[in-house]
This record gives sequence, structure tokens and C-alpha cells, in this order.
Amino acid sequence: MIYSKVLIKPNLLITSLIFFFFTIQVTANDSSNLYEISNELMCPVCQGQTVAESNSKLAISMRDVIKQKISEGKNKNEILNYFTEIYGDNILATPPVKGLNILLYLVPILFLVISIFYWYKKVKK
Amino acid sequence: MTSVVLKKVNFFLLFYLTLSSFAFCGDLNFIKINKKVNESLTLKSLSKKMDSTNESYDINIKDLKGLIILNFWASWCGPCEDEIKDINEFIDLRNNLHPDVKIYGINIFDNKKDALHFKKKNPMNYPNFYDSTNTIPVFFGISGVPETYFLKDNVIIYKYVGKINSDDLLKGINKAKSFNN
Repeated sequence: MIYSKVLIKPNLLITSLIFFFFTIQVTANDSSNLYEISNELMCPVCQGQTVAESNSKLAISMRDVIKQKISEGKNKNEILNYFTEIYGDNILATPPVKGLNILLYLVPILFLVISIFYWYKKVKK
Repeated sequence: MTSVVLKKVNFFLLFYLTLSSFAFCGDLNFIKINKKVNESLTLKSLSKKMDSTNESYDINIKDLKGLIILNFWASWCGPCEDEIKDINEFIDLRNNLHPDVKIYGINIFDNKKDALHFKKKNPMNYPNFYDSTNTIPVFFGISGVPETYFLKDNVIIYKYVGKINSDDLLKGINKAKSFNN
């Protein structure tokens, strides 16, 4: 009887500890996912702020949707797709490299090349 | 010299008229959506307690059939307060012209206490609901209030951005009725 009591207690302790760490892990994963995803979405009614940074009513609503989608077991890509279907590619903090968006990536490089060329010509003179 | 000045004036006049024609060629406040409501969107009745009026129930937007108008508002929004008179006016017109059309007010971006106070101050002759989940605005792609949506058989057809009046509500109904997928 005494033996079983002693045996049960450590078991209970270990189980509780495992449960405790597992809960912390799950909560931490959920909140880090929430931050990661909301940081990849721009707030449509703010200027240059992501959904993670903004406290506008729409950004709060968007974070609630992300939380709901995470609890439904949706992954990051599925959630980002959900938002792009509604708001278009402009909602993404990092626009995809396609269509006119290519200019966003090419123009700075082009400016750099022109600047170097101009600087080189001036120095040569 | 005079002819040159006249030519310049003509050019600016033409330019101005072209720009203005763009402004009048369409209803700029109406935006075509064409999106099916394929997920459960539950709204809670905006009333203090269960009573005998038709507001004492919850609805799911997915279950709404026929031509539906959803008017999104918030208690802190000035234009939302201004448009109530027009919507109430429209309710009288609707009863005669389009009795099949249903209109619901939906409170978003708000808290229930303020919404109830606003509703008491500004009587609305149509059922009102509130978004307890705070997720409805994202599904509709709402960026601010007031916004009014025209739905036909579970499909969001048009949205109207800004303060709406009874003429635009009637225009929206006609647009939605003549819309074919």
C-alpha cells in the first residue's frame, strides 16, 4: 500500500510536469505562429504597418481570424492564401515575384547599376 | 495671340470634361464582388434580452436566402448615424416596391454596450445584429464603416462604400436583381 502510494506520487508528478511543459510548448507555438503570420500581412487601413504591429480595429479582427484558423489546424500557407483571396497580393508584406511586382525587385538593382556606371564615368573623367 | 490662348483654354476644357466624364460614367461607390458565402458566419441579435420582436434571434449569413442587404455600422462612426434616417426611409419604400428584399444592420468594430446605447439613441426600423467573433469584417473584406453589401442567394454581389441613401439602396437592389453569374 505504502509502496503504491510512493509509486503513484512520482508518476503523478512526472505526468503533471510533462503535461505542463507540453501545454507551454503548444501555447508558445500558437502565439509565435500568430506573430509570424500576422507579421507577414500588411494592415490594409494603416500606413506601412503589419497586422502584428497595428492596433487598428481591422488588424485586431485579422489577428482574431488568424487565431481561429490556427485553432482549426490550418497551416501558415493556407492562412496567407485565405487573406490573399480576399485582399489580393497587396496584403502580403513580401509581395510574390510575378507580374508587375517584378519591378519592385528590379528597379532598385537597375538604379544601383546606373549609379555605379555614372560614378565610374565621372571618376574616369 | 488670341487664337493661341483660345486653343489652350479649349485644351484644358476638353481635359477637364474628359476627367469629369470618368467620374460620372459609373457608380463609383458600388464595387462588384461576386463571392459565395461558403463558411459559417454567425451573428448575435443586438438586443438586451429575449423579447417578442423579430430581433431576438441569432442568424447565420450562410442561411440567408433571396436578396439581402447587410449594412455594417459602428457606434463611433458619424456617417453611420447620418444614414439611419435614409435606411428607415428606404424600409417604407421597400415595403411597397421590393417586399421580398430583407435588410439587416450589423454592428462591427465595437462593443455591445456602446452599440445598444447607439441603437436606443437612433431607432432603426430593421433587425440589427452584432459580430461577437470579430471575424466577419475580414470575410467581407471590409476596410471601414459604413459599408453596405448586396447578397443574392448566398453570393455577395456588390458592396457600397460610405454613407448610403434610399436612392442608392434601390439602385443596388436593381443592380443585384439584374446580376447573372
